[in-house]
Amino acid sequence: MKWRFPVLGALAALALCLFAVPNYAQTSAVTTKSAVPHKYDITQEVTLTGTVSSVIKAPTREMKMVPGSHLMLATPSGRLDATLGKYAMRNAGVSSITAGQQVQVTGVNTTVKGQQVFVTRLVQVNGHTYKVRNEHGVAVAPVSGKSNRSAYTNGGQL
Amino acid sequence: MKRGTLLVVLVALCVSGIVGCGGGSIFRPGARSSNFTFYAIGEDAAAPVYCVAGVVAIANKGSNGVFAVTGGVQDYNNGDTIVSPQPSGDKITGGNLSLESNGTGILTLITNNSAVGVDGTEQFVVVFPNSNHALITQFDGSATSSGSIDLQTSRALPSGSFAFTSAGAFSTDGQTFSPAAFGGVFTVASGSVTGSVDTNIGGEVNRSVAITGVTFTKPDKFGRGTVDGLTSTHSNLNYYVVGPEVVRFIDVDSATFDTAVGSAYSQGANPNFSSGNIGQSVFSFSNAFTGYAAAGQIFTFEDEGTAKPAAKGSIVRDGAPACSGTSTCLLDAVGDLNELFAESPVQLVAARFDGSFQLPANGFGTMTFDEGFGDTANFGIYAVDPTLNILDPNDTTDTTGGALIAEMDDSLIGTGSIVPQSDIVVADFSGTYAGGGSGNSTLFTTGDEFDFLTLATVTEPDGGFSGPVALSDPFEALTDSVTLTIDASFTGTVVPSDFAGRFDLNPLALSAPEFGTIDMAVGIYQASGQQLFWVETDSDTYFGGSLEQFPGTGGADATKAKSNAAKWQH
Repeated sequence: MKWRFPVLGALAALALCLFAVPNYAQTSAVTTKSAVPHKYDITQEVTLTGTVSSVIKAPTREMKMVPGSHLMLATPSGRLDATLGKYAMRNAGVSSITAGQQVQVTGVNTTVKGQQVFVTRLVQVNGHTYKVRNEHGVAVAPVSGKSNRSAYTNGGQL
Repeated sequence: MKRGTLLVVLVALCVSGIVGCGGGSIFRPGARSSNFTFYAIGEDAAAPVYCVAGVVAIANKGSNGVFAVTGGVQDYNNGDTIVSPQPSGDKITGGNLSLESNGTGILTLITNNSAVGVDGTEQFVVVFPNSNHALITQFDGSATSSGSIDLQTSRALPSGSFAFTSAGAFSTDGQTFSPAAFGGVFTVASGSVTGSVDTNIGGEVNRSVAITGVTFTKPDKFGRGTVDGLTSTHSNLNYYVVGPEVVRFIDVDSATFDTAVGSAYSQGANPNFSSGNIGQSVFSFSNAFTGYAAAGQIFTFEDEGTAKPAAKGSIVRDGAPACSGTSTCLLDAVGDLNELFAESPVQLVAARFDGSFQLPANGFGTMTFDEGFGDTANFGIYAVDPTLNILDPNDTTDTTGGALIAEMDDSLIGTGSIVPQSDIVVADFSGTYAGGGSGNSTLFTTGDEFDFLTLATVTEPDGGFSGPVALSDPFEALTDSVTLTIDASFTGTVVPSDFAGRFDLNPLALSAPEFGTIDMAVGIYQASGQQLFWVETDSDTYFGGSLEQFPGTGGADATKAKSNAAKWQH
């Protein structure tokens, strides 16, 4: 997707600049080549501990990161891009993480478009563990905690 | 979240075959009012997935120029904080369908449940491609969604054989939601159901599970009843009849974290399907929770035999024997895919891949995509009556038959359809179209939903594509500052691709005074001149949806559409 503005008169263009409406230039990153399926393999999971260097809740396109939120961690083995997926920041415990905190992440190391990323399933911070993906690597969203509903349990017909 | 000022938008086209123009009625002659069955699925302010379904009674046009809502009932469920009380549901106590003299419009539903919409009042943008059917998008800032509203032609207890799918969100741990998809077939006799269902809850797949002990209760005056356990043992479902051959159903469970909405379509009086029922077709599937969408076209054949590889630019193998019988058949396909939120995001444009499928006599089959189309691989297919139009069940004149599909992969969970590709004449993709799309964007958030409706005009031979757009972006996913706007528009040029039946619409420029212009890369697949499917394949945004033609505006009548399209009015 590319953002652009119509051809405007000089004054109109200046006005737009003054109001600082973002003018993005981004080309579609599409391909007609086959893509190899990327399955989350829970048997390859590792748990790592690191110090949060930054929290990226919504990366800009210039960052060229995997969509979703990220924790950038400093670990004994180096810098780690822990991708948290689409819904992690809906969880108050995750969204309140700040730089300098110690966290533990459980997930799988992989390469996406030439970049090493850590596909995170669990985030442990301040003694609490938050699930941001399930065992299949599917991003999950937290329930609100404001209702009296309970878990759906498989059984019978399912 | 901001709630934008809601204006009355409406666009309606005075085209032949549409009774709703020029101050007339959208209803059948002589009717004082009609019931319409509606459903939608999307995201609300409290949960990643919400579903709504119901029946609304709409009186004929009043002296004030609007169609009054005189009653109805609905069920709303976001799987978490909001679920309509049962067994009553939400009573629809008033509202109106605002249809200007030459516009489509906004449907306002006033309910007795202050938890839904804005203090109990919901508003939907609507676009009617014909008098019996409209695409809808919730447009009040409390939620955004896509769905449809269809003239209710029966309130009788469903009977016979049906194929169905539904999608939503479930929680199996009480802590998190996962996407969920279901698909299957069933036969109902005197309310008693037997059948089979495929389920995929967060990648946990169960195939061909027997449906037992399920009953359609007698419907009420709105054609509403219960069918608990249809998709999963513990789910309480309500259903709403559209007609003798179509039923919508919605999960209304208040005890567990789950929500879903779906449809069941008749398989005809005497289902006797075969793999040969799936010929050259267009497919589409998506799921906003999972965050992906796809569309494409397939050519099916019996076996490799003496067939020669397809010529460049064609998916049709030279000399390939047609598929028949109930054994496994092969398929060649070309498709566009955007797995924006996959573990490893994938965007594919006109990707070629192979696969196979098998459809037994009961219409409960399977389809497999070989490597080459992202993470997509395994589907259930559920054949419908060859005379039914899946998108527009009251229209039996075009784009009928095919099958519902549900993805059964552990990393992708979604639903969609396969419809016969009966017309790939470029000139037939012309006229006026009701278009809808549902997608996600990472432009300003980590991936919230946006939805839109458009009234698009396609002109040939130049391929001009333009039209006004009603954009619902309450979570500021696509646009950083605009939440709801009716002042947006699409412009672009439809260009036939190397693959007959496929078009590029790149860029499709979405413009509005509030946010300038957003260029989108879009692929379109033509099932017929009356029905097409589109998908956006950008690396930070996607949408999937359909285009449905206004009768009498395409092909040789395209010039009529061009003149009518100018009649957009606020």
